Amino acid sequence: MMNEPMKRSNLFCDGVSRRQALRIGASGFLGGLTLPKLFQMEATAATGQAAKAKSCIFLYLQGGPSTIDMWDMKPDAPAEIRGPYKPIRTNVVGTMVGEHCHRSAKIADKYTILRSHSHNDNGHTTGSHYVLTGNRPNFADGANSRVPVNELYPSLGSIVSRELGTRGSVPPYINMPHPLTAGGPGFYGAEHAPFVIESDPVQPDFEVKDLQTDERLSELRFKRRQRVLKGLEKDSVQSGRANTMATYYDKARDLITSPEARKAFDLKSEPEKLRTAYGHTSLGQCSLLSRRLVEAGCRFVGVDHGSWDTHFSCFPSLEKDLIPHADMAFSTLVADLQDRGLLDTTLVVMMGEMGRTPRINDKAGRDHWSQAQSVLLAGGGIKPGIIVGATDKTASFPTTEPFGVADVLRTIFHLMGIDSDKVYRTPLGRPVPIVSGGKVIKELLI
Amino acid sequence: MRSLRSTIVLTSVFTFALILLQHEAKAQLIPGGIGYAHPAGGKAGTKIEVKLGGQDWTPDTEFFVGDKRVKLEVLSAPGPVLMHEPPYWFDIKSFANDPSLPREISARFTLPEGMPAGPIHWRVANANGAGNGGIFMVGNTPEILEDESLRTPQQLPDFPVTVSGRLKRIEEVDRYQFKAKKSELITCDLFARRLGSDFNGVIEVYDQNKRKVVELFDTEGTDPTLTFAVEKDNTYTVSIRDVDYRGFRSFTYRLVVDSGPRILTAIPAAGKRGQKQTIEFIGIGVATGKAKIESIKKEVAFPADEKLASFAYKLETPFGNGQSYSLQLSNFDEKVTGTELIMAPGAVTARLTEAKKSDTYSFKGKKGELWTISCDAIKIGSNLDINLSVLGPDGKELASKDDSSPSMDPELPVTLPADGDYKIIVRDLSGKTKTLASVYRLVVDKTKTNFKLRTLPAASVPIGGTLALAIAITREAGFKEPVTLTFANLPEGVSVPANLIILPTVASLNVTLTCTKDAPASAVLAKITGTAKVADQTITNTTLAPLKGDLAARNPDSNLTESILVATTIKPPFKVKPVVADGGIRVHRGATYLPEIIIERNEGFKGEITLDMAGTQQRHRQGIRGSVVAVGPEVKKLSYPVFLPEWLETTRTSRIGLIAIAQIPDPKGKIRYVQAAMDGQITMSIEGAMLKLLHPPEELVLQSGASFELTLKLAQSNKLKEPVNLELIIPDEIKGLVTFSPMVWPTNSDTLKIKVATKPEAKMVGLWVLTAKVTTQFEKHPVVSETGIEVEFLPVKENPIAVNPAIKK
Repeated sequence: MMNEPMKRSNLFCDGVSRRQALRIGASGFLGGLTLPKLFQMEATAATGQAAKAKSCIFLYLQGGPSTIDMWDMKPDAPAEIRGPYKPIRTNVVGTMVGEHCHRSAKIADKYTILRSHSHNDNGHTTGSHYVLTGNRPNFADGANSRVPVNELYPSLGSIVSRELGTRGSVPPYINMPHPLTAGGPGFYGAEHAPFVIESDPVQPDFEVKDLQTDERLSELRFKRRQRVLKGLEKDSVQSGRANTMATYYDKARDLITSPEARKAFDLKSEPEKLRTAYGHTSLGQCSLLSRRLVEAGCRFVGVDHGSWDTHFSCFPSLEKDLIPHADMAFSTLVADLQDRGLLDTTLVVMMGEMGRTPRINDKAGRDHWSQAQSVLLAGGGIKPGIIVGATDKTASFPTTEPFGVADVLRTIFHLMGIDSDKVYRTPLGRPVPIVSGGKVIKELLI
Repeated sequence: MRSLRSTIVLTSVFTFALILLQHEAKAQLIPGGIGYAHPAGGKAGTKIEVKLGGQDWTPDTEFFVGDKRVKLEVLSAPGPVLMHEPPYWFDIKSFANDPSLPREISARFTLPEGMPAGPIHWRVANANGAGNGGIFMVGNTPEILEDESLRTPQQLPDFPVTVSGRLKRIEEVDRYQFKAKKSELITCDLFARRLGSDFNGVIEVYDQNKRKVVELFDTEGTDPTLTFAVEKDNTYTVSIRDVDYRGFRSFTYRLVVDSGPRILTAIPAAGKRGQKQTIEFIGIGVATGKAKIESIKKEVAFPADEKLASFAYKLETPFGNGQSYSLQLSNFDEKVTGTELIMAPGAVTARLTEAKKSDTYSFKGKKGELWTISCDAIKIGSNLDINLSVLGPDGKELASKDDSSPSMDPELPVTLPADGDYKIIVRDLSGKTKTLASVYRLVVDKTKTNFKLRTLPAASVPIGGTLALAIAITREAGFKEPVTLTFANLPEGVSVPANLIILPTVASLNVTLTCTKDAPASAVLAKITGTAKVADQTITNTTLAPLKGDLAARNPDSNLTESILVATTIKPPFKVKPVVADGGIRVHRGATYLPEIIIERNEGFKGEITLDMAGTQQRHRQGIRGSVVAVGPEVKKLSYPVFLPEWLETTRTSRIGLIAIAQIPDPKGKIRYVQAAMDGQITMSIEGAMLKLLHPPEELVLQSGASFELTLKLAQSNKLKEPVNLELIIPDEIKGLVTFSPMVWPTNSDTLKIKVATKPEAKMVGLWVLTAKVTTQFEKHPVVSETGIEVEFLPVKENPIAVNPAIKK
């Protein structure tokens, strides 16, 4: 026996329910940003400093990429460490990468590999918290299933959003296709939360629901909806805060109908050849969309790409899916940015929360390993075509100076013109610097 | 103390130890899980046709009932693996593992007249081993079956009545309605966990104005029983659901609805055999018929029968009789007072209150004596959760106990260390000492010299091999004699060594069951007896085993059986594993994924192997569907189609587990079905779809009989090159009344207007969801997209409530 069917009720005079009316301009994502909130934030944004990177595209390979099979090959190590893949030459003399990164090999002069990134958090949620906020979490790995997990400390995207504010017609901080595990605003509050796409750009019907109006809604009907919405709010517009919110709703409506914003999200307008070059994959199309959003003025795009936690039979999935997807997306993104003259002002970072164990386990997979991971960086003031740092003969530990999480974050902020020593106070008055400790990795800079 | 869900994991150390001792082939798949019956019970003296469900049943699975009074006939072979039906949980709720995927058979139970109400355990075995079964409940009231097709509340007949129903899908709420013939008390007793249905029931009662009258949530996993007052001529609706709105076809239940007062407990809760005793019955409405806890005293004559442990007493009142209450039978003069010296051995029933949160009793004992102190609360209908402590003559705690798993009522054996006065402290851990029903019965008795034998309820012996079956012994009151074991009714070809003796120095004996190489694959209910001599007396006890099924055991002995199901098994001569075992591959939702599967054969096996979905799945989410694939003898590797619905979340890793089944003759030439679980799982990371059908939102309110136009939009990846077929799926209830001819989607068009015709019939009225579905192929396998279209049909003469251009006048 099923529930009694829901009866239609609470319909407005034009047949629009309150829920439908409010859906416009609300992402529906807990901890995400609604358009009215966004405009409230824009009104209070700080002025950015002079910087080489105006924007950052952060490709987050969640689960922990096996960089020993991609960017830090050890062909002389025993078979149970070096794995089945062979190193190949790149267009930079002396730089070798894994055979399944052949597209990236052809543009190795455009990016840099940081091989000595190292920390000691081997958990997924805890590692993500550490890598994306620079702070250790106060929960054990797996003990926090909320997204975002960073309830106190802001993520680097939220910091960029707070420090640099909006630039153009799109939100300053965007996550796609999902929220980053630790991509939340922490104590900065909802106004610095990511605007989350919540839709996979690989879908043929991809659209961002906050930015779409129903085509069947005539302009007249849309305006009627707005009147209904205002009618709902009229009891509370007496207060200044509510009045301000009404202003933001107006701006949200403007963004919905703003040709620039809608154009930025219109992936279909890209040539099919370019879309194919990025790859008809979630990571590929997210990378392409990231470029479009950076063009439209977004400051920080966080792309969440999972499935890198390859404990079992890792090589078939690495060579069939994961590495080719990442290779296509990263190499095409960097080349595309350069073709458009955007690479100098756009920092591209590709990394995970950790790497994988050098030794292949008895299930033909690799486990968690945070002591050594390679990070790819390009554009935005990064010195191209070099390798920074090195690891030992099994890629277990750095043999050069290890660069930790704080060093990487400080470098990103430095390139974006953000003062990492700036301090904000939590609601309880505790001072929290943008980055605690660490130093800018000067070897990476132009 | 027990909390929500914790009951599921109550596992005795004893059982765990036995599991460790029993050797089983890992890959071989024994029919498993807790099975279910639908309907889940029937009235004594009737024949009931049911569907029995369980996981990994082969076509040759045999079914057994230990109770010889009951006949179980199998009417059909197991059907296909049954999937979870929509809707599905998304977001964080989708992390939870769904119930196992069953297969079902048709069967018939024949229950004799006069059979007392209670559970019957049915069990299963096949050539892969002896597994679990489920519970079928015998009732003593008229029975009805839930009408699963109803969209409105089902009307209940006169009380008492038992409804057999189930919560078949998540979010399902079952509603039953009745009109009160007089102002009285009504009791709803929901059997769910007691049947093995793994949900926590909620009973909610609404009046005719849809105001909630009363509700009860089963937060402790003990099944809810709710009594409430009704007013004459008013209509009431009783809603049944799970606390988390979960549902599946195995979530069967029985709702017993009766009128009249309801006895909760009694003081004393027992009476001496053959004597009359005044009993204070505590319950709802027992004295005045009103909805409050009160008490009434009645003289009760207790039967003298030594074989009976309890008897059902029906309290007659001017306000009705309600359901009977089970009074315990004892050989003690049952006391009813509280804090006083107890004449040990003896028994006392008393009440804890807000003011008196514990009781202390004293008894004299001598060094070396063995006593058993037990305290019943749950068993006698009380709301208390008792903790027992025993203090020695020196005032220090000698022993204490909270639960005697699987029951929350403690039983505490103690050996006295010295002569002197001992104290027993009875405390409550529930905090529910505010009602008249906060009652317990304490029994203090010298432990008799005896022994108990325990083993597992099922044993699987490979043909031509052996199985070590552990028989554990518990010795009581200084029992230190050797125990001789006797096995009766073992399967053909199975034997045990002669002179099986459990020596006084050991806690268990591993008995090796040996099966000859030429034995058939078969299964029987065996019996294991232990015999010992103490002085001049011979003590004989049957080995008991705890059956699974009752998830809300109120009595530690309620699930013990003396029937041990022993099966002889055929080892699978094959192994199946995915090429990418447990490694994630990114796949498109709405499409068919073709993971490669490796087939390994050994021992010269050349028969056909069938791959199918396994009953037990992990991270099998939101309707992922496997196929039934027959694999010929030459095939060593194949692509297995897994269909991924388009609504799958892209944030989740999803998995599917498979089984491989083959027909193999046993040594007697009889064809049996042998199965093995795939080694590893197919793991998938979901990406966006390649095909998407859309119906732009519109509110369709139409007159039944009108034809109307729908606008559909199609988006597709440029990877897709094959034609796209469009169809409209109509709900079964209005099939034939809504018509649309399937068609091929025109090429070079992303928008399509289709015409749908309807017939002006009363059945059409209401809100319906039509499903538009497009299908194409990618690499010769289906790619599918669906969209639901809500349409509300009005009666023919009524005007639409909203102007809609789609309506054709």
